[in-house]
Amino acid sequence: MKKAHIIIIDDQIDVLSALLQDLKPFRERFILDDCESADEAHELMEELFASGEKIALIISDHIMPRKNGITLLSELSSDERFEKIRRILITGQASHMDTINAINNASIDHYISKPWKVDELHAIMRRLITHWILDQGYDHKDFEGMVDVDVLFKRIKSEGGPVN
Amino acid sequence: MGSLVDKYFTDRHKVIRLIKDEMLFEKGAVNQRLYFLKEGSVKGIDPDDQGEFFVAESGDYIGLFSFFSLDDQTRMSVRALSDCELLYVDKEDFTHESQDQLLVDFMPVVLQMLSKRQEQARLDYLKHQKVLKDMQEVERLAALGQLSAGVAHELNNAITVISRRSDHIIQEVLQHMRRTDLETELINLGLERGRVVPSAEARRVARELRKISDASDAKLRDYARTGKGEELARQDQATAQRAFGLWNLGASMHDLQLAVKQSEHVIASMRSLAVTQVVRQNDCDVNESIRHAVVLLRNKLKHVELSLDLDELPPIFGNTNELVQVWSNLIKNSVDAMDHQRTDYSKLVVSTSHDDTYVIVRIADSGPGIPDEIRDEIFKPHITTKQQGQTFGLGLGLTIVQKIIKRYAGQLNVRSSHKGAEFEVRIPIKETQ
Repeated sequence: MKKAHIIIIDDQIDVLSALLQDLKPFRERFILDDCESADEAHELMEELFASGEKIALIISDHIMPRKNGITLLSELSSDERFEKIRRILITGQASHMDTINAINNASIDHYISKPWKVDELHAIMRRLITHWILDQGYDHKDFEGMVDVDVLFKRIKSEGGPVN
Repeated sequence: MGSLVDKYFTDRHKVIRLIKDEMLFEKGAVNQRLYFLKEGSVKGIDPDDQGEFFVAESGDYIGLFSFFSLDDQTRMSVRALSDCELLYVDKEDFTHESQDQLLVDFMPVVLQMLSKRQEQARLDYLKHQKVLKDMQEVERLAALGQLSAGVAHELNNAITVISRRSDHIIQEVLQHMRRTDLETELINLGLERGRVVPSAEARRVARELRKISDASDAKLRDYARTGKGEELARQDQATAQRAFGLWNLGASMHDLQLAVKQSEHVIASMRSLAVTQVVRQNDCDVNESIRHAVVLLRNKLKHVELSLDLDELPPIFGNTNELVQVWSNLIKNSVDAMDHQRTDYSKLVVSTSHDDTYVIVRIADSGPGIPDEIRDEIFKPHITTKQQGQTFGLGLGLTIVQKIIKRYAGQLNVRSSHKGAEFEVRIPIKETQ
């Protein structure tokens, strides 16, 4: 099975590379794509969609010139091609009304404050990836080491029956 | 009004002439006269607190309140502002009946005067409120300065440790780490230039490299990020991996150094809010301070077309760090203004020149310009972040700029149109104090 993509967006290259570095463990089962702007991410996503590649998760910075992360993630949630992608916002403004509204309007699955803690970041990613795997109907055994057991258990219990 | 004068102020002998600054009467004196100011002007003041009650011109009546009151006592002193001629009547000239008539006739005048005094009191109150507000602003700035200085002080120790120790780590690594020539080349490249390859280019180059290497796409992208992608792709994987690892190490050191400089810059900015004296040098080069600011803002200027047009300048008596803050804040302001426009055209021109008196620095952007209404507001500090929109940060930049320029006895001019804004800073070459 071809690896799905995880897209990371931040306009500051030093933050972007730090994030990339911290997400290295996920390189085993996913392709990590770094982008420096919302526009670049849009372009990349169109390319990937055109070639039939899957995107599992997007992590985006909040404050960026031209188009900010919240606008980007909101747009994706209303695009039926991309609505299943899990969305994480990284923000230095957790009490910002825009952030709160975006979460409440379900366009963000999780927000992370800067500076992030690596362990927390990994835990959040595992949870969201597990949800995505189950949504896609994939076999979670193919993603050993990246699955959150609690999420798995809860979902199987509520959806009933074995995971196909 | 004329008929009242004709009716009552008919005695030719009842005239008083005053020269300028002469007193008509003092506060608390007994006054049984009603005056009509025929020519000149007078001022009513309270000698105790220097409060000004009124200014009366020709055609006005003086002593209305004391004349019609029960105690005949004047409430203020009246002084002539110019040479005057006043007509008057005495209370004793009137019987009880005619006094009542007098009161009825003068009622409109009294009411008008009361109304005038009331309006004056209202205006004085508003003026007072404004002064209070200005004072509060000054106090707020002072408190802000104290707070900032405190925070800066606390942070400074931590930043110093980070700065010195990261330099130490870099030195030790470079000194003791065994490495091949390729690895040395790469770690130095990372350290010197940092992460200069944009993500989109790394992807593009990686695609090309697939033709000459069967390493994974992720690895090819990593090689591409160094700027020496092709060279690394031609190595065996172990060599290439290790070489990339060392480049990454160098680039992280570069990131550390840059982040330290940023922090030092922020702390310096906060410090200038507290009024402190900085050490100035005789050979301060304004152009150098501009170049320094541009380096510091390299990241922010990434998507901006920057033009530096720096003439040769005479040295001034100044502090480079302070000047760096001025240019940094102005440039940041311009870039932010251009960012909010949704065009691809972001152009910033920084130019320097001089005449006999001043060194002149101009920073012009292609942003939306500054609306007249907020032209003065932009220099006021705002420390709360906006809830809508993306304004954030301490919002102190232009306040600091103004403060510093003032210390140099310089000038700050703003020109704006829909094509963009231009900030012009003039710094005297010779210190005037």
